[in-house]
Amino acid sequence: MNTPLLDVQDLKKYFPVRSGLLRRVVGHVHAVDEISLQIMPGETLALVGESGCGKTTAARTMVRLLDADGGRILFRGQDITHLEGDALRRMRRHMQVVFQDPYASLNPRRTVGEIIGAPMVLHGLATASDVNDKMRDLLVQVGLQPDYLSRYPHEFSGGQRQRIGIARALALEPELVMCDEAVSALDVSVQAQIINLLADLQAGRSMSYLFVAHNLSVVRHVAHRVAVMYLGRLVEVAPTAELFEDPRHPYTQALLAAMPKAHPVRPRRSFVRLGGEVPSPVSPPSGCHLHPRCPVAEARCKTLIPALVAVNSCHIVRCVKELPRTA
Amino acid sequence: MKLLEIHDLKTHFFTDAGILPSVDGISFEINQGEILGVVGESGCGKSVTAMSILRIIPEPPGRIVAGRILFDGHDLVSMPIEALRKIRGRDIAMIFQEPMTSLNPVYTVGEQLREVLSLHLGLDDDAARARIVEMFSLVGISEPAMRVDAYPHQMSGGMKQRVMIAMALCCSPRLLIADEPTTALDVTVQAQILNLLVKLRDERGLGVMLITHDLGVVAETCDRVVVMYAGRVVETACVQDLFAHPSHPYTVGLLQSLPDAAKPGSRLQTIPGNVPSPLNFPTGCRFRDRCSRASSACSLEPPLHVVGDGHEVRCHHPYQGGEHEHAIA
Repeated sequence: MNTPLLDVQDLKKYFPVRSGLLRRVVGHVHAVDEISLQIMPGETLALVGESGCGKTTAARTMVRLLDADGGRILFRGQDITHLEGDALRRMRRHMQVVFQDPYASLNPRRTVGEIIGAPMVLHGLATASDVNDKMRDLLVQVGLQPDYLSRYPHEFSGGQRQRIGIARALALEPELVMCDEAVSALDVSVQAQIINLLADLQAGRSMSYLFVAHNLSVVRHVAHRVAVMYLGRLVEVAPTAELFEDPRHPYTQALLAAMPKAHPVRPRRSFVRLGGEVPSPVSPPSGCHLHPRCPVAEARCKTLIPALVAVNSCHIVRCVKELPRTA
Repeated sequence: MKLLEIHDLKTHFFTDAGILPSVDGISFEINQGEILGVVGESGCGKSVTAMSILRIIPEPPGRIVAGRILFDGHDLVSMPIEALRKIRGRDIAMIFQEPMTSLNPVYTVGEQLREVLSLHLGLDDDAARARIVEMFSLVGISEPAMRVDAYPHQMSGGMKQRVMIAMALCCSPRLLIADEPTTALDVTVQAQILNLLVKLRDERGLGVMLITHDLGVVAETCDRVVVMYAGRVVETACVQDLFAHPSHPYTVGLLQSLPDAAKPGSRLQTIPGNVPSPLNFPTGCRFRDRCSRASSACSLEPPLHVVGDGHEVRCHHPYQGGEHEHAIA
């Protein structure tokens, strides 16, 4: 069995809730509540869920953009949970990020060359003499003209900027790239270009992607495995095809049912499968967080936090319906 | 029955950089009891079209330079603004993409609806309150009587969008213009809101202009679709025809670039290049630089072809006769 590239064990991230005149801490939001996940070399793992479910926080904690409040993060077997200073900086080379907003994530005062070249020189992957050649290579790989190096971000369209963001992430030859809603802000025709680019780059470099997204059509297309989160907890993890064909958790089922499909059907199916909205993560419901909205909830769902149960060797789900029956 | 007819509308913006022909000669109509989808990518002019109908284009720099917009046979473009004010909010209502910024944070949602009701229907406070509670329960707000006195910040995004819909519907308009009403919402809440629009169409005969970039939303809710590109309408069809026999190369490209259309993990079809800037739209067909079927003829204005019942396309080389059937598996 291969060692995972990234192995996250019981990861926790809490944010304090402050209130009153003295801004006392009155509670904690359990944004990430004991999450365990593995990403294999060359694999794309998607993290999905609705706003406030903690998917972005989980992903950011996993690549050490946020400090964990509990659990362990192993990168190629090395514990990186508490790395600091130079050691952390050296580790960052291997884990890069492509952000959602191609407008806000590039410094408007820097040229493309400065944006891509600075990290290469800092990490000793290029010298002043060959950095230009390497940057030109990289721009060609992400589908941009090599002479764009001296231009500024405002001269580019959204899709082109996202290509620059990808070039910046790839400049350090990372093994893991976290894509935080990297194609969500793009128009459909451009989104397809970027999805293809990410696939080509992965095939050429055997990188892993941690793909944070809410668009399930995109996830179905790019991911090898999918992890579904609801209010800070993992509710289901499965290989992509299996998750879409045999979703076990009621929340996963509702998400898939609510996903608009791009072909008209008659008679029109009714949309609503899940009532209400995602409750505030400050005071999540007791027991299974989904129980107030769940169409199949039982009395015990109010108190019992179901454990993650293995449906098979690669499919886990957190629901009382899947718990083994006790005599 | 035709509710709204747009004839050759042109809305241009006059900026220091030049004239932006954001909407440049578009025509379509919306019938009673029909959800018309208006789709296109950013900058295609779909929101400017919606704002032109209610004449809420910021002026300057924008101006409706030509065209007629007939509502009930009356031209909204040439109508005195006082007469238009009586129509806005009462006969034609609009909801926007951002429910978070469309409500005034210092008034309760009830006060904001009451203003509409007293202005257009002359209701007193008690009658207005009863009407608001009725509207809130119609749009699926739980505990409507209590929610009347809530401030916007006490509500979630989905709840605020329901308040906006309640406000839009409280004078029983005949036409609702919904500009990306669910883009900012989660999928499970989006499903609830779209379901509500379908229900209002079926039960009240509401006409809806649904502006969206999401072809999934179009497929699931719309009766007819208008596809816009670079300030022009390139294709109009009923929703089944549009997805089964797309005719304009841009529509075909859009449908093919959806991840839904492809086998998971396979390469997606793409449209090369980017949407052109309104400052330098190509002459003739504005899609020709990105089009695989383009020829020298495309530098001339494309003709309008009727390719089916109510199915029109503006193109020199449209896909025809099932040439593109089953493009979308």
